[in-house]
Amino acid sequence: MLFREKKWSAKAVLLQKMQQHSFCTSQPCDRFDLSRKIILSLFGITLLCLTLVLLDVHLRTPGNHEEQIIQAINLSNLSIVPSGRPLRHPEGVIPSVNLKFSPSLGSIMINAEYLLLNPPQYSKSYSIP
Amino acid sequence: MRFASPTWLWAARDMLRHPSEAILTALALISVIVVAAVPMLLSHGLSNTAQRLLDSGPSLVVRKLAAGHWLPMPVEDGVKAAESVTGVLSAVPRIWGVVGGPESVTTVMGVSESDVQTLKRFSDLTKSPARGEAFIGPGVLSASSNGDKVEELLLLNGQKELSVKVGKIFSGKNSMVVHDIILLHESDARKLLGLEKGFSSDLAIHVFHEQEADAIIPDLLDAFPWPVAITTKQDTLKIYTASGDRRAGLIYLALIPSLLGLALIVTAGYRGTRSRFYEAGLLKSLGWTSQDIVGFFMCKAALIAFPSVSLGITLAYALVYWPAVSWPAYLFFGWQNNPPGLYLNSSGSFGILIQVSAGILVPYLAANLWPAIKNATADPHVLLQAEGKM
Repeated sequence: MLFREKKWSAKAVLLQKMQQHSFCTSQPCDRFDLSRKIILSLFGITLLCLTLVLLDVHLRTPGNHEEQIIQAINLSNLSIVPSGRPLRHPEGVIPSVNLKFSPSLGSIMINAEYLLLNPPQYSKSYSIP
Repeated sequence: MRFASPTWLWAARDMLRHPSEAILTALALISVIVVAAVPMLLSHGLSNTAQRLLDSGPSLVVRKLAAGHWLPMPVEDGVKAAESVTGVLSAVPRIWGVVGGPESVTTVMGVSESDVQTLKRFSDLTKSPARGEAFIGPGVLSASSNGDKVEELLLLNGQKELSVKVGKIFSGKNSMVVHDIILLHESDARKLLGLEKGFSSDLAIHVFHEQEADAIIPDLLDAFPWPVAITTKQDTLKIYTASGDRRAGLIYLALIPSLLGLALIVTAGYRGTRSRFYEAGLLKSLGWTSQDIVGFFMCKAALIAFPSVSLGITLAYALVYWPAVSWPAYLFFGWQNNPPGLYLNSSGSFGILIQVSAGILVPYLAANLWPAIKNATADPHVLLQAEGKM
Protein backbone atom coordinates (compact mmCIF):
# COMPACT_ATOMS: atom_id res chain seq x y z
CA MET A 1 0.00 0.00 0.00
CA LEU A 2 2.79 2.32 1.01
CA PHE A 3 4.67 1.47 -2.17
CA ARG A 4 1.58 2.27 -4.29
CA GLU A 5 1.13 5.66 -2.56
CA LYS A 6 4.80 6.43 -3.11
CA LYS A 7 4.39 5.61 -6.81
CA TRP A 8 1.43 7.93 -7.14
CA SER A 9 3.19 10.80 -5.39
CA ALA A 10 6.27 10.29 -7.57
CA LYS A 11 4.12 10.40 -10.68
CA ALA A 12 2.38 13.56 -9.51
CA VAL A 13 5.72 15.25 -8.90
CA LEU A 14 6.99 14.16 -12.30
CA LEU A 15 3.89 15.38 -14.14
CA GLN A 16 3.95 18.63 -12.18
CA LYS A 17 7.56 19.18 -13.19
CA MET A 18 6.75 18.40 -16.82
CA GLN A 19 3.82 20.79 -16.81
CA GLN A 20 5.95 23.52 -15.33
CA HIS A 21 8.56 22.93 -17.97
CA SER A 22 5.99 22.82 -20.74
CA PHE A 23 4.82 26.39 -20.51
CA CYS A 24 6.89 28.22 -17.91
CA THR A 25 10.59 27.94 -17.44
CA SER A 26 12.22 25.01 -19.09
CA GLN A 27 15.81 24.17 -18.65
CA PRO A 28 17.81 24.21 -21.89
CA CYS A 29 18.77 20.57 -21.44
CA ASP A 30 15.30 19.04 -21.08
CA ARG A 31 14.14 20.11 -24.58
CA PHE A 32 10.51 20.62 -23.54
CA ASP A 33 10.42 23.95 -25.33
CA LEU A 34 11.62 22.32 -28.50
CA SER A 35 9.13 19.47 -28.01
CA ARG A 36 6.30 21.94 -27.64
CA LYS A 37 7.35 23.67 -30.85
CA ILE A 38 7.54 20.34 -32.66
CA ILE A 39 4.06 19.34 -31.52
CA LEU A 40 2.73 22.70 -32.68
CA SER A 41 4.46 22.40 -36.06
CA LEU A 42 3.24 18.84 -36.63
CA PHE A 43 -0.27 19.80 -35.64
CA GLY A 44 -0.08 22.80 -37.96
CA ILE A 45 1.20 20.72 -40.89
CA THR A 46 -1.57 18.15 -40.41
CA LEU A 47 -4.27 20.80 -40.20
CA LEU A 48 -2.92 22.78 -43.15
CA CYS A 49 -2.66 19.73 -45.43
CA LEU A 50 -6.14 18.48 -44.62
CA THR A 51 -7.62 21.96 -45.01
CA LEU A 52 -5.95 22.48 -48.38
CA VAL A 53 -7.18 19.16 -49.76
CA LEU A 54 -10.71 19.61 -48.37
CA LEU A 55 -10.97 23.15 -49.69
CA ASP A 56 -9.73 22.14 -53.13
CA VAL A 57 -12.10 19.19 -53.35
CA HIS A 58 -15.10 21.33 -52.43
CA LEU A 59 -14.25 24.62 -54.10
CA ARG A 60 -12.77 23.42 -57.39
CA THR A 61 -15.13 24.20 -60.19
CA PRO A 62 -14.97 22.56 -63.59
CA GLY A 63 -14.43 25.24 -66.16
CA ASN A 64 -12.38 25.91 -69.24
CA HIS A 65 -15.42 25.64 -71.53
CA GLU A 66 -14.46 22.11 -72.50
CA GLU A 67 -18.05 20.92 -72.59
CA GLN A 68 -19.01 23.72 -74.95
CA ILE A 69 -16.17 22.89 -77.33
CA ILE A 70 -17.28 19.25 -77.36
CA GLN A 71 -20.85 20.35 -77.99
CA ALA A 72 -19.87 22.78 -80.74
CA ILE A 73 -17.77 20.42 -82.82
CA ASN A 74 -19.58 17.22 -81.84
CA LEU A 75 -16.53 15.50 -80.42
CA SER A 76 -17.09 11.97 -79.25
CA ASN A 77 -13.75 11.39 -77.55
CA LEU A 78 -11.05 13.14 -75.53
CA SER A 79 -7.46 14.03 -76.40
CA ILE A 80 -6.06 11.93 -73.57
CA VAL A 81 -4.68 9.25 -75.89
CA PRO A 82 -2.65 10.35 -78.97
CA SER A 83 -4.41 10.56 -82.33
CA GLY A 84 -4.42 7.48 -84.51
CA ARG A 85 -4.76 4.87 -81.79
CA PRO A 86 -7.82 2.62 -81.44
CA LEU A 87 -8.33 3.89 -77.90
CA ARG A 88 -8.56 7.44 -79.22
CA HIS A 89 -11.00 6.67 -82.04
CA PRO A 90 -13.08 3.67 -81.00
CA GLU A 91 -15.69 4.68 -83.59
CA GLY A 92 -13.00 4.25 -86.25
CA VAL A 93 -12.27 0.65 -85.39
CA ILE A 94 -13.72 -1.67 -88.02
CA PRO A 95 -15.61 -4.47 -86.28
CA SER A 96 -14.64 -7.09 -88.82
CA VAL A 97 -10.91 -6.31 -88.65
CA ASN A 98 -9.13 -7.98 -85.78
CA LEU A 99 -6.54 -5.68 -84.27
CA LYS A 100 -4.49 -8.62 -83.04
CA PHE A 101 -0.95 -7.90 -84.21
CA SER A 102 0.20 -11.47 -83.86
CA PRO A 103 -1.88 -14.66 -84.00
CA SER A 104 -0.11 -15.96 -80.92
CA LEU A 105 -0.71 -12.85 -78.82
CA GLY A 106 -3.80 -11.18 -77.45
CA SER A 107 -5.38 -8.18 -79.07
CA ILE A 108 -4.18 -5.90 -76.30
CA MET A 109 -1.02 -4.03 -77.14
CA ILE A 110 1.60 -4.11 -74.41
CA ASN A 111 1.24 -0.55 -73.32
CA ALA A 112 0.58 1.10 -69.96
CA GLU A 113 -2.50 2.90 -71.24
CA TYR A 114 -4.28 -0.44 -71.56
CA LEU A 115 -3.72 -1.04 -67.89
CA LEU A 116 -5.40 2.21 -66.92
CA LEU A 117 -7.98 2.52 -69.65
CA ASN A 118 -10.23 -0.32 -70.57
CA PRO A 119 -9.80 -1.24 -74.23
CA PRO A 120 -12.89 -0.69 -76.32
CA GLN A 121 -15.25 -3.59 -76.67
CA TYR A 122 -14.92 -3.97 -80.43
CA SER A 123 -17.40 -6.79 -80.55
CA LYS A 124 -20.06 -4.50 -79.08
CA SER A 125 -20.01 -2.15 -82.04
CA TYR A 126 -23.34 -2.63 -83.75
CA SER A 127 -23.20 -3.27 -87.44
CA ILE A 128 -24.76 -5.07 -90.33
CA PRO A 129 -22.13 -7.44 -91.76
CA MET B 1 -2.08 28.57 -21.55
CA ARG B 2 -1.65 24.85 -21.37
CA PHE B 3 -1.76 23.44 -24.86
CA ALA B 4 -0.60 19.87 -24.62
CA SER B 5 -0.70 17.21 -21.97
CA PRO B 6 2.61 16.14 -20.47
CA THR B 7 2.27 12.77 -22.22
CA TRP B 8 2.42 14.47 -25.62
CA LEU B 9 5.42 16.54 -24.54
CA TRP B 10 7.18 13.50 -23.22
CA ALA B 11 6.42 11.64 -26.47
CA ALA B 12 7.74 14.52 -28.59
CA ARG B 13 10.87 14.67 -26.49
CA ASP B 14 11.29 10.95 -26.86
CA MET B 15 10.95 11.35 -30.64
CA LEU B 16 13.79 13.87 -30.53
CA ARG B 17 16.01 11.26 -28.93
CA HIS B 18 15.87 9.25 -32.17
CA PRO B 19 15.19 11.85 -34.87
CA SER B 20 16.53 9.84 -37.78
CA GLU B 21 14.27 6.90 -36.92
CA ALA B 22 11.23 9.20 -36.75
CA ILE B 23 12.12 10.92 -40.03
CA LEU B 24 12.70 7.64 -41.85
CA THR B 25 9.41 6.22 -40.59
CA ALA B 26 7.61 9.38 -41.69
CA LEU B 27 9.21 9.28 -45.15
CA ALA B 28 8.29 5.60 -45.53
CA LEU B 29 4.68 6.30 -44.54
CA ILE B 30 4.49 9.20 -47.00
CA SER B 31 5.88 7.05 -49.83
CA VAL B 32 3.47 4.19 -49.12
CA ILE B 33 0.49 6.57 -49.06
CA VAL B 34 1.53 8.25 -52.33
CA VAL B 35 2.13 4.94 -54.12
CA ALA B 36 -1.19 3.54 -52.95
CA ALA B 37 -3.30 6.66 -53.47
CA VAL B 38 -2.07 7.96 -56.84
CA PRO B 39 -3.43 5.14 -59.09
CA MET B 40 -6.78 5.20 -57.32
CA LEU B 41 -7.07 8.99 -57.56
CA LEU B 42 -5.95 9.04 -61.19
CA SER B 43 -8.42 6.39 -62.22
CA HIS B 44 -11.24 8.05 -60.28
CA GLY B 45 -10.44 11.53 -61.63
CA LEU B 46 -10.18 10.28 -65.18
CA SER B 47 -13.51 8.47 -65.17
CA ASN B 48 -15.21 11.41 -63.41
CA THR B 49 -13.88 13.94 -65.89
CA ALA B 50 -14.57 11.80 -68.95
CA GLN B 51 -18.13 11.26 -67.79
CA ARG B 52 -18.63 15.01 -67.33
CA LEU B 53 -17.10 15.96 -70.66
CA LEU B 54 -18.54 13.24 -72.86
CA ASP B 55 -22.03 13.96 -71.55
CA SER B 56 -21.94 17.01 -73.83
CA GLY B 57 -21.04 14.97 -76.90
CA PRO B 58 -23.23 12.99 -79.27
CA SER B 59 -24.96 9.88 -77.98
CA LEU B 60 -24.24 7.74 -81.04
CA VAL B 61 -21.82 7.83 -83.95
CA VAL B 62 -22.86 6.13 -87.20
CA ARG B 63 -20.30 5.23 -89.87
CA LYS B 64 -20.89 3.66 -93.27
CA LEU B 65 -19.19 0.34 -93.56
CA ALA B 66 -17.79 -1.79 -96.37
CA ALA B 67 -15.95 -5.08 -96.21
CA GLY B 68 -12.82 -4.22 -94.24
CA HIS B 69 -12.90 -0.46 -94.68
CA TRP B 70 -14.96 2.67 -94.16
CA LEU B 71 -16.94 4.55 -96.74
CA PRO B 72 -17.90 8.21 -96.74
CA MET B 73 -21.44 8.78 -95.47
CA PRO B 74 -23.83 10.42 -97.94
CA VAL B 75 -25.01 13.39 -95.88
CA GLU B 76 -28.50 13.94 -97.22
CA ASP B 77 -29.58 10.30 -97.21
CA GLY B 78 -27.82 9.60 -93.94
CA VAL B 79 -29.42 12.49 -92.07
CA LYS B 80 -32.82 11.62 -93.51
CA ALA B 81 -32.48 7.98 -92.47
CA ALA B 82 -31.28 8.85 -88.98
CA GLU B 83 -33.94 11.46 -88.35
CA SER B 84 -36.67 9.06 -89.44
CA VAL B 85 -36.04 7.05 -86.27
CA THR B 86 -38.19 7.95 -83.29
CA GLY B 87 -36.10 9.33 -80.45
CA VAL B 88 -33.40 10.92 -82.61
CA LEU B 89 -33.18 14.64 -81.98
CA SER B 90 -30.61 15.54 -84.60
CA ALA B 91 -28.03 13.95 -86.88
CA VAL B 92 -24.99 16.11 -87.58
CA PRO B 93 -22.51 15.17 -90.32
CA ARG B 94 -18.91 15.29 -89.13
CA ILE B 95 -15.86 15.76 -91.29
CA TRP B 96 -12.82 14.43 -89.56
CA GLY B 97 -9.89 12.13 -90.02
CA VAL B 98 -6.40 11.30 -88.88
CA VAL B 99 -3.56 12.86 -90.87
CA GLY B 100 0.15 13.31 -90.58
CA GLY B 101 0.89 16.58 -88.79
CA PRO B 102 4.06 18.61 -88.52
CA GLU B 103 5.39 16.53 -85.62
CA SER B 104 3.09 13.57 -85.19
CA VAL B 105 -0.26 12.16 -86.20
CA THR B 106 -3.08 14.62 -85.57
CA THR B 107 -6.85 14.65 -85.81
CA VAL B 108 -8.28 17.07 -88.33
CA MET B 109 -11.83 18.34 -88.12
CA GLY B 110 -13.64 20.44 -90.65
CA VAL B 111 -15.84 23.09 -89.07
CA SER B 112 -18.67 24.94 -90.67
CA GLU B 113 -19.80 28.49 -89.92
CA SER B 114 -22.61 27.17 -87.71
CA ASP B 115 -20.14 25.30 -85.48
CA VAL B 116 -18.17 28.49 -85.02
CA GLN B 117 -21.30 30.40 -84.05
CA THR B 118 -21.56 28.02 -81.10
CA LEU B 119 -17.85 28.34 -80.33
CA LYS B 120 -18.05 32.14 -80.37
CA ARG B 121 -20.40 32.13 -77.41
CA PHE B 122 -17.73 31.10 -74.97
CA SER B 123 -14.35 31.64 -76.53
CA ASP B 124 -12.48 34.44 -78.16
CA LEU B 125 -13.11 32.99 -81.60
CA THR B 126 -14.49 35.72 -83.77
CA LYS B 127 -14.53 33.87 -87.05
CA SER B 128 -14.36 30.39 -88.43
CA PRO B 129 -11.06 29.19 -89.90
CA ALA B 130 -10.73 30.72 -93.32
CA ARG B 131 -9.52 28.73 -96.31
CA GLY B 132 -5.86 27.96 -95.79
CA GLU B 133 -6.11 28.70 -92.07
CA ALA B 134 -5.99 26.32 -89.12
CA PHE B 135 -7.03 26.62 -85.49
CA ILE B 136 -4.84 24.20 -83.61
CA GLY B 137 -4.71 22.61 -80.21
CA PRO B 138 -1.81 23.39 -77.90
CA GLY B 139 -0.13 20.06 -78.59
CA VAL B 140 0.08 20.21 -82.37
CA LEU B 141 3.28 22.19 -82.32
CA SER B 142 5.74 21.34 -79.59
CA ALA B 143 7.29 23.91 -77.32
CA SER B 144 10.53 23.52 -79.24
CA SER B 145 9.08 25.26 -82.28
CA ASN B 146 10.92 28.41 -83.07
CA GLY B 147 9.37 31.82 -82.83
CA ASP B 148 5.76 32.74 -82.56
CA LYS B 149 3.58 29.78 -83.46
CA VAL B 150 0.78 31.91 -84.87
CA GLU B 151 1.32 32.66 -88.54
CA GLU B 152 3.45 29.52 -88.74
CA LEU B 153 2.79 27.22 -91.72
CA LEU B 154 1.68 23.65 -91.11
CA LEU B 155 2.16 20.92 -93.68
CA LEU B 156 -0.50 18.22 -93.32
CA ASN B 157 -0.40 14.84 -95.06
CA GLY B 158 -3.74 13.20 -95.70
CA GLN B 159 -5.13 11.94 -98.98
CA LYS B 160 -3.40 15.02 -100.34
CA GLU B 161 -0.81 17.38 -98.94
CA LEU B 162 -2.08 20.65 -97.60
CA SER B 163 -0.23 23.64 -96.25
CA VAL B 164 -2.18 25.84 -93.85
CA LYS B 165 -1.38 28.87 -91.76
CA VAL B 166 -1.89 28.74 -87.99
CA GLY B 167 -4.61 31.26 -87.21
CA LYS B 168 -5.20 30.45 -83.56
CA ILE B 169 -3.89 28.18 -80.86
CA PHE B 170 -6.41 26.98 -78.30
CA SER B 171 -5.65 27.57 -74.64
CA GLY B 172 -3.73 24.88 -72.81
CA LYS B 173 -6.64 24.74 -70.39
CA ASN B 174 -8.61 22.92 -73.11
CA SER B 175 -5.91 20.30 -73.63
CA MET B 176 -8.08 17.37 -72.64
CA VAL B 177 -10.40 18.14 -75.54
CA VAL B 178 -8.41 19.74 -78.35
CA HIS B 179 -4.78 18.97 -77.52
CA ASP B 180 -3.80 17.50 -80.89
CA ILE B 181 -6.80 18.58 -82.93
CA ILE B 182 -6.64 20.85 -85.96
CA LEU B 183 -9.78 22.72 -86.98
CA LEU B 184 -9.85 23.55 -90.67
CA HIS B 185 -12.25 25.22 -93.03
CA GLU B 186 -14.73 22.62 -94.24
CA SER B 187 -13.47 22.70 -97.82
CA ASP B 188 -9.82 22.36 -96.71
CA ALA B 189 -10.73 19.39 -94.55
CA ARG B 190 -12.60 17.75 -97.43
CA LYS B 191 -9.62 18.28 -99.70
CA LEU B 192 -7.15 16.92 -97.17
CA LEU B 193 -9.26 13.87 -96.29
CA GLY B 194 -10.45 13.17 -99.83
CA LEU B 195 -14.13 13.69 -99.05
CA GLU B 196 -16.38 14.80 -101.88
CA LYS B 197 -19.02 17.46 -101.31
CA GLY B 198 -22.23 15.88 -100.04
CA PHE B 199 -20.34 13.26 -98.04
CA SER B 200 -19.13 13.22 -94.46
CA SER B 201 -16.92 10.97 -92.36
CA ASP B 202 -19.79 9.94 -90.09
CA LEU B 203 -22.93 11.15 -88.41
CA ALA B 204 -23.10 12.33 -84.81
CA ILE B 205 -26.52 11.55 -83.43
CA HIS B 206 -28.16 13.18 -80.42
CA VAL B 207 -31.09 11.37 -78.87
CA PHE B 208 -33.96 12.67 -76.79
CA HIS B 209 -33.36 10.36 -73.84
CA GLU B 210 -29.77 9.36 -73.19
CA GLN B 211 -30.97 6.11 -71.62
CA GLU B 212 -32.74 5.04 -74.78
CA ALA B 213 -29.65 5.36 -77.01
CA ASP B 214 -29.00 1.62 -76.83
CA ALA B 215 -32.65 0.81 -77.44
CA ILE B 216 -32.90 2.68 -80.75
CA ILE B 217 -29.81 1.05 -82.27
CA PRO B 218 -31.79 -1.76 -83.99
CA ASP B 219 -34.16 0.87 -85.47
CA LEU B 220 -31.19 2.89 -86.70
CA LEU B 221 -29.58 -0.16 -88.28
CA ASP B 222 -32.85 -0.82 -90.12
CA ALA B 223 -33.24 2.80 -91.16
CA PHE B 224 -29.97 3.04 -93.07
CA PRO B 225 -29.97 1.51 -96.54
CA TRP B 226 -26.30 0.49 -96.23
CA PRO B 227 -24.30 -1.44 -93.68
CA VAL B 228 -23.32 0.86 -90.81
CA ALA B 229 -21.41 0.56 -87.58
CA ILE B 230 -22.80 2.37 -84.57
CA THR B 231 -20.70 3.33 -81.59
CA THR B 232 -22.45 4.51 -78.45
CA LYS B 233 -21.25 7.10 -75.96
CA GLN B 234 -21.20 4.35 -73.37
CA ASP B 235 -18.66 2.44 -75.48
CA THR B 236 -16.37 5.46 -75.45
CA LEU B 237 -16.97 6.07 -71.77
CA LYS B 238 -16.00 2.50 -71.02
CA ILE B 239 -12.52 3.34 -72.24
CA TYR B 240 -12.15 5.98 -69.58
CA THR B 241 -14.38 4.77 -66.81
CA ALA B 242 -12.73 2.39 -64.50
CA SER B 243 -14.84 -0.62 -63.92
CA GLY B 244 -12.88 -3.53 -65.19
CA ASP B 245 -10.10 -5.79 -64.20
CA ARG B 246 -7.49 -3.75 -66.02
CA ARG B 247 -7.80 -0.77 -63.71
CA ALA B 248 -7.76 -3.10 -60.74
CA GLY B 249 -4.61 -4.62 -62.24
CA LEU B 250 -2.87 -1.26 -62.29
CA ILE B 251 -3.92 -0.55 -58.73
CA TYR B 252 -2.69 -3.94 -57.56
CA LEU B 253 0.60 -3.33 -59.37
CA ALA B 254 1.06 -0.26 -57.22
CA LEU B 255 -0.32 -1.87 -54.10
CA ILE B 256 2.08 -4.82 -54.04
CA PRO B 257 5.21 -2.75 -53.32
CA SER B 258 3.28 -0.44 -51.03
CA LEU B 259 1.91 -3.37 -49.04
CA LEU B 260 5.43 -4.73 -48.68
CA GLY B 261 6.55 -1.30 -47.50
CA LEU B 262 3.64 -1.13 -45.08
CA ALA B 263 4.54 -4.58 -43.73
CA LEU B 264 8.10 -3.40 -43.08
CA ILE B 265 6.89 -0.23 -41.37
CA VAL B 266 4.45 -2.19 -39.20
CA THR B 267 7.16 -4.67 -38.22
CA ALA B 268 9.59 -1.87 -37.41
CA GLY B 269 6.90 -0.10 -35.38
CA TYR B 270 6.11 -3.25 -33.46
CA ARG B 271 9.71 -4.08 -32.73
CA GLY B 272 10.54 -0.47 -31.90
CA THR B 273 7.82 -0.23 -29.28
CA ARG B 274 8.37 -3.74 -27.93
CA SER B 275 12.07 -3.11 -27.46
CA ARG B 276 11.30 -0.30 -25.00
CA PHE B 277 10.31 -2.74 -22.25
CA TYR B 278 13.16 -1.72 -19.94
CA GLU B 279 12.14 1.93 -20.16
CA ALA B 280 8.50 1.00 -19.64
CA GLY B 281 9.47 -0.96 -16.53
CA LEU B 282 11.48 1.99 -15.27
CA LEU B 283 8.66 4.46 -15.84
CA LYS B 284 6.18 2.12 -14.22
CA SER B 285 8.32 1.72 -11.14
CA LEU B 286 8.59 5.52 -10.98
CA GLY B 287 4.83 5.76 -10.70
CA TRP B 288 3.47 5.85 -14.25
CA THR B 289 0.24 3.97 -14.70
CA SER B 290 -0.39 1.47 -17.49
CA GLN B 291 -2.60 4.09 -19.14
CA ASP B 292 0.25 6.64 -19.05
CA ILE B 293 2.62 4.18 -20.69
CA VAL B 294 0.18 3.16 -23.42
CA GLY B 295 -0.66 6.84 -23.97
CA PHE B 296 3.03 7.73 -24.22
CA PHE B 297 3.75 5.15 -26.93
CA MET B 298 0.56 5.96 -28.84
CA CYS B 299 1.24 9.71 -28.68
CA LYS B 300 4.65 9.09 -30.16
CA ALA B 301 3.18 6.94 -32.94
CA ALA B 302 0.50 9.54 -33.62
CA LEU B 303 3.05 12.36 -33.77
CA ILE B 304 4.78 10.50 -36.59
CA ALA B 305 1.77 8.98 -38.34
CA PHE B 306 -0.80 11.77 -38.59
CA PRO B 307 1.46 14.46 -40.12
CA SER B 308 2.97 11.85 -42.47
CA VAL B 309 -0.43 10.67 -43.64
CA SER B 310 -1.61 14.26 -44.13
CA LEU B 311 1.51 15.10 -46.12
CA GLY B 312 1.20 11.88 -48.12
CA ILE B 313 -2.41 12.43 -49.14
CA THR B 314 -1.71 16.07 -50.00
CA LEU B 315 1.22 15.05 -52.17
CA ALA B 316 -0.81 12.31 -53.91
CA TYR B 317 -3.70 14.72 -54.42
CA ALA B 318 -1.41 17.38 -55.89
CA LEU B 319 0.29 14.84 -58.17
CA VAL B 320 -3.03 13.91 -59.74
CA TYR B 321 -5.22 16.99 -59.50
CA TRP B 322 -2.70 19.79 -59.93
CA PRO B 323 -3.93 21.82 -62.93
CA ALA B 324 -2.34 20.79 -66.21
CA VAL B 325 -0.58 17.78 -64.70
CA SER B 326 1.08 15.96 -67.56
CA TRP B 327 3.03 13.03 -66.12
CA PRO B 328 0.11 10.51 -66.44
CA ALA B 329 0.04 11.15 -70.19
CA TYR B 330 3.77 10.34 -70.40
CA LEU B 331 3.55 7.26 -68.22
CA PHE B 332 0.21 5.77 -69.10
CA PHE B 333 -1.27 7.13 -72.29
CA GLY B 334 1.55 6.73 -74.76
CA TRP B 335 2.55 10.33 -75.37
CA GLN B 336 6.17 10.59 -76.40
CA ASN B 337 6.51 14.35 -76.21
CA ASN B 338 4.34 17.38 -75.52
CA PRO B 339 1.65 15.49 -73.58
CA PRO B 340 -1.69 17.10 -72.74
CA GLY B 341 -2.14 18.76 -69.37
CA LEU B 342 -4.97 17.09 -67.51
CA TYR B 343 -7.57 19.07 -65.59
CA LEU B 344 -9.26 16.33 -63.64
CA ASN B 345 -12.44 16.57 -61.67
CA SER B 346 -11.63 15.88 -58.02
CA SER B 347 -15.13 15.49 -56.60
CA GLY B 348 -15.45 12.37 -54.54
CA SER B 349 -11.70 11.94 -54.15
CA PHE B 350 -11.71 12.75 -50.43
CA GLY B 351 -13.40 9.42 -49.75
CA ILE B 352 -10.58 7.61 -51.53
CA LEU B 353 -8.01 9.54 -49.50
CA ILE B 354 -9.79 8.61 -46.28
CA GLN B 355 -9.81 4.93 -47.31
CA VAL B 356 -6.11 4.94 -48.15
CA SER B 357 -5.23 6.83 -44.96
CA ALA B 358 -7.23 4.40 -42.85
CA GLY B 359 -5.58 1.47 -44.61
CA ILE B 360 -2.15 2.76 -43.63
CA LEU B 361 -2.92 4.31 -40.23
CA VAL B 362 -4.81 1.42 -38.69
CA PRO B 363 -2.06 -1.23 -39.14
CA TYR B 364 0.64 1.23 -38.07
CA LEU B 365 -1.18 2.34 -34.92
CA ALA B 366 -2.17 -1.25 -34.14
CA ALA B 367 1.44 -2.34 -34.49
CA ASN B 368 2.37 0.24 -31.86
CA LEU B 369 -0.62 -0.32 -29.60
CA TRP B 370 -0.17 -4.06 -29.11
CA PRO B 371 3.44 -3.97 -27.79
CA ALA B 372 2.59 -0.84 -25.79
CA ILE B 373 -0.20 -2.74 -24.01
CA LYS B 374 2.12 -5.70 -23.45
CA ASN B 375 4.75 -3.41 -21.96
CA ALA B 376 2.23 -1.55 -19.87
CA THR B 377 0.53 -4.60 -18.39
CA ALA B 378 3.68 -6.51 -17.52
CA ASP B 379 5.17 -6.46 -14.05
CA PRO B 380 7.81 -3.71 -13.82
CA HIS B 381 10.14 -6.09 -12.01
CA VAL B 382 9.94 -8.55 -14.91
CA LEU B 383 10.49 -5.77 -17.43
CA LEU B 384 13.56 -4.47 -15.57
CA GLN B 385 15.01 -7.93 -15.12
CA ALA B 386 14.39 -8.92 -18.74
CA GLU B 387 16.94 -6.63 -20.33
CA GLY B 388 18.78 -8.65 -22.91
CA LYS B 389 16.33 -11.51 -22.72
CA MET B 390 13.28 -10.17 -24.59
